[in-house]
Parts: sequence; C-alpha cells; structure tokens
Amino acid sequence: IQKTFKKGEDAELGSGAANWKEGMMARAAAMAKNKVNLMHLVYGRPGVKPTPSSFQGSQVDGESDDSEDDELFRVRRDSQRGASTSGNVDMDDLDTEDCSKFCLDPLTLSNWDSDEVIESIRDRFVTGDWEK
Amino acid sequence: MSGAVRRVRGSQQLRLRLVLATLSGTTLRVDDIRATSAAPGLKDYEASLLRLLEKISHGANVEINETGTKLKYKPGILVGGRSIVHDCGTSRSVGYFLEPLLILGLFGKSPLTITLKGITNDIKDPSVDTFRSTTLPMLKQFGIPTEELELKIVTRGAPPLGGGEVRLRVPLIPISLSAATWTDEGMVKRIRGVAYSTRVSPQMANRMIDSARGIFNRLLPDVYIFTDHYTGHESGKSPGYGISLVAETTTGCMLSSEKTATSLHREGTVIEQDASAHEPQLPEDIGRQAAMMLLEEIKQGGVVDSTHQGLLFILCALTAEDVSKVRVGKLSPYGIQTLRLVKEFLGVQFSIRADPASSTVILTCVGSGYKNLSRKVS
Repeated sequence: IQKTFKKGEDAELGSGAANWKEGMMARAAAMAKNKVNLMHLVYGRPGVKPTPSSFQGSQVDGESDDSEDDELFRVRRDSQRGASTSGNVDMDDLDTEDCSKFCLDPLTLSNWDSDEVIESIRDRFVTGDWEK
Repeated sequence: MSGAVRRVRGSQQLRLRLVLATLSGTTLRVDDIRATSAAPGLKDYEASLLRLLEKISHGANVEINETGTKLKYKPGILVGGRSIVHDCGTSRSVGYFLEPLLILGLFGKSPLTITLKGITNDIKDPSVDTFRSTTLPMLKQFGIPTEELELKIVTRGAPPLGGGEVRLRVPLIPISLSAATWTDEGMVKRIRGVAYSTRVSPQMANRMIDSARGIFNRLLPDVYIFTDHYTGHESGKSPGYGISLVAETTTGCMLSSEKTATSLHREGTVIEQDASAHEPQLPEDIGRQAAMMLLEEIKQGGVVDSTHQGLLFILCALTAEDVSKVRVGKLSPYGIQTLRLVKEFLGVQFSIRADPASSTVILTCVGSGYKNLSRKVS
C-alpha cells in the first residue's frame, strides 16, 4: 500500500519536485566521506563521557525485567551471542575472544583471478609502473 | 608502585589489560568474567597466562574467586630470567603467550629466555612462523637490537595435541624505546614464506606452495616459499600443515598472512566444530587463500598488516616522550581496542587522521616516556 501511495505522490507533484534529488548520490557520498571521524570512532565523542557500554562491554541484560522478579532463577537469553559470529568481532561483547590475528572472511576476498583486480595493486609492487 | 586499582569487566582483552597493568604498576580488578556464559570464569589458558606472569616477575599477586569470574591482579617487578619453561597447554597456541611476553620481556631486570611448549600453529593465534618473519623485525623500528631477538622452533606442534616447543629470547631495552616515524610502506619487492608440514606427507607443503605461487606469479617473480617438513620426535603429537607468507617492501616493512589446516584429528574433544567447518582443509585451498589474504593486506597499505596493529600502537605508546607517526591500512577491531586500552592505562591518546589520497590511516602520538625501571643499575 505504501508503495502505491508514494508513486501516486510523485506523479501528483510532477517533474519539478525531483530537482532536489539530482546529484543526491554524489552529495551523499561526499558527506559520508567527511562524516567518519576516526577519533570519534576510537575514543568516543568529546564531551560525552564514554559509557561503559562503548568501552567495556554492554550492561548485563535482563536486569530490568519487571516481571518474574520473585523467581529464583531466570533464563539467560543471548548468552551465546557473538559466539556464532566468528570473524565478526562484536565490540560490545564483554567476553570477546582475545585474538590479535585478523581473520579475513574468505567470502569477502576479492577475485584475484581477474585481471582488473590484479592490475589495481600492480603499482604497489616494484614491478609496477613507476612513471605514474 | 602506585596503589591505583583499575576495575574492568569481562574477559575481553585480558592479555593486553594484564600487560598494561604490569607496565603501569596498576592493580587490575576484573569482574564478570564470562558471568553469563554456560562455562563461566577464567579459561585454562588465561590461568596459564597468569601463572606465566608470576614466573617472569617478583611479587606479583593473583587472587581468583571460587567460580573464576572475579580476578585481582597486583603486578610485581618484572625480572625476566633465563631457562624459564612454561607449558602453554593445548587450548591456545603459543602465539597467545608470545605476544605479551615480547612486550614484557623488554622491560625486565635481566634478558628473558623462555621455552614454551604447546601448539605452534593454529587458526586463532599468530603462528610461530609469522612471529619470526614479521613480528620480530617490527621491533627494529623502535630501536631494539634485533640481533638479540630470537625465536627458535625446536619442535612443531599441531592442534589438537600439540607437542611443539619454541625458545624465545628477548633483549632488554637500554633505557626506553625510541620513537618511530614510520609512514613510508614502500613497494613490495619480494615475497617469502614457510610452508610447514608435520606428520603428513611432505607433498602437502609443495601443494600449498604451488597454489600460492600461482597467484603471485602474475605480479612478482621474486617469490620463494620454503618447505619445512618435520618427522620423528620433532613433529609433535598431531598431524598438520599450514603456510605463512610475508611480503617485504623496499622500505623494510613486513606484511604477513597465514593459513593453517584445522585439526585433522577429530577423535578427541572437538571444541569448535561449527567454527572450523567452513575452514579449508585441502592444501591447495589453504595456499590460495593465504596468498589472496596477503594481496588484500598489500592492497590496503600501511606499514604493518592488520594483525600487527595492536603491537604497533603499544610500542608507539611506550616510547620516550617524543612524537611517533605511523601509517596503517584500515583500523582493525583489535587495533581499535588496543588504542582504547592504551589511553586508559598509559594516558596516551593518538591523533588519528584518514589519508584520503592513499585511503590509509595516519596515527600520531607522543610516547608516555616509559622507562625500564626494573633494569639493574650497575
């Protein structure tokens, strides 16, 4: 239903409404480039006191459950979270495995059989074109 | 030692926290170690690491509660020492223990010579081959005499049973580490590597080398990968094979990648079956993937590979009060965590700037001026 509504809206407003959309991709790309501040990414934003969740892992979950407070035992949900996503390090997990080795997911490897990909790093080698 | 106590939660980054607590003389209190896990508390390799820390220092005090979910570590004075032997067990490889030892060994009272027993190559930790080819040469940039740095592989030990043995020798630093300006990664001039095989056909190593070479040949003729085959008492208790590659640049940077076959024996307790299920087993696949991973590291740029970012940042932070400047490709999760811990324990904050021209990251910091206080003054 939403889709048809949007289509109808576009048609009603005519072609003039699409002006601001021009070059949207380029602008978004330019903004995204400037946006990532590595200092903030690593140390958190200045002024904002880094919360324990961003520094030392998430709060123990399930503490604020209003129901079943009188129960002696509670089932922990999510206890195996992060264990299944090997390779993808969950920065907020308190008990992330301590590995310094960077494990690249084999599925994200570029296709190093293709000429294009090989040519893209040719100049990183002494055999590359030094004139450029 | 100051009486500062630092409280943290969870088992994450325990190694680095222990190392930085030891260096900064801070008492470390860790709560909630795997508190919500089905197997709570410290793992045996973490307990083993704590015992190792006690071995190389005087007056260290470790208290662990009954369930192992709480830990209090009061560091002592690093003494180093000769002919220390440590059994690393079989749950983690010796690579797990080598990294903290390398940093702590530099700041002891006497040079450290230690024999570590256990698994030499596995899929989780940097292998001893990579350690030798890439990690040790890195220290040269910080004014450490690399002639005295040595890692000798006495016997191989593949998972799950291990049986390997390595000997590490770490020299003392004179007073403090010298700051490094290390931003020029140069161009790759040659690729070297080691393909090891133990208790399997020596042909396995050749098969890995062939498939790895097939990928490099289109880019660089200077590729040489050594075969390292073990038999008899030098071959450890389990069969295994793997490959460790290193790209050497014109400016002396080393970029590494490695791939190891997961444990071939499945009769014992298989700890992480699901994790190793999609790992390659065929030597051809292992060689190919290691080669492709190396090319990814080369493409990314930077003076070290993703695996060595953590060590690089720590070394930068421990230098004399001088400016260090380094370049890395893309910040790895481990690198980011290290940066945070370094700020927490040593008060060193890096200035991090993206370099859009080469799509790399440049980090600058002023060293903490850390001095080797344990060193004997004669």
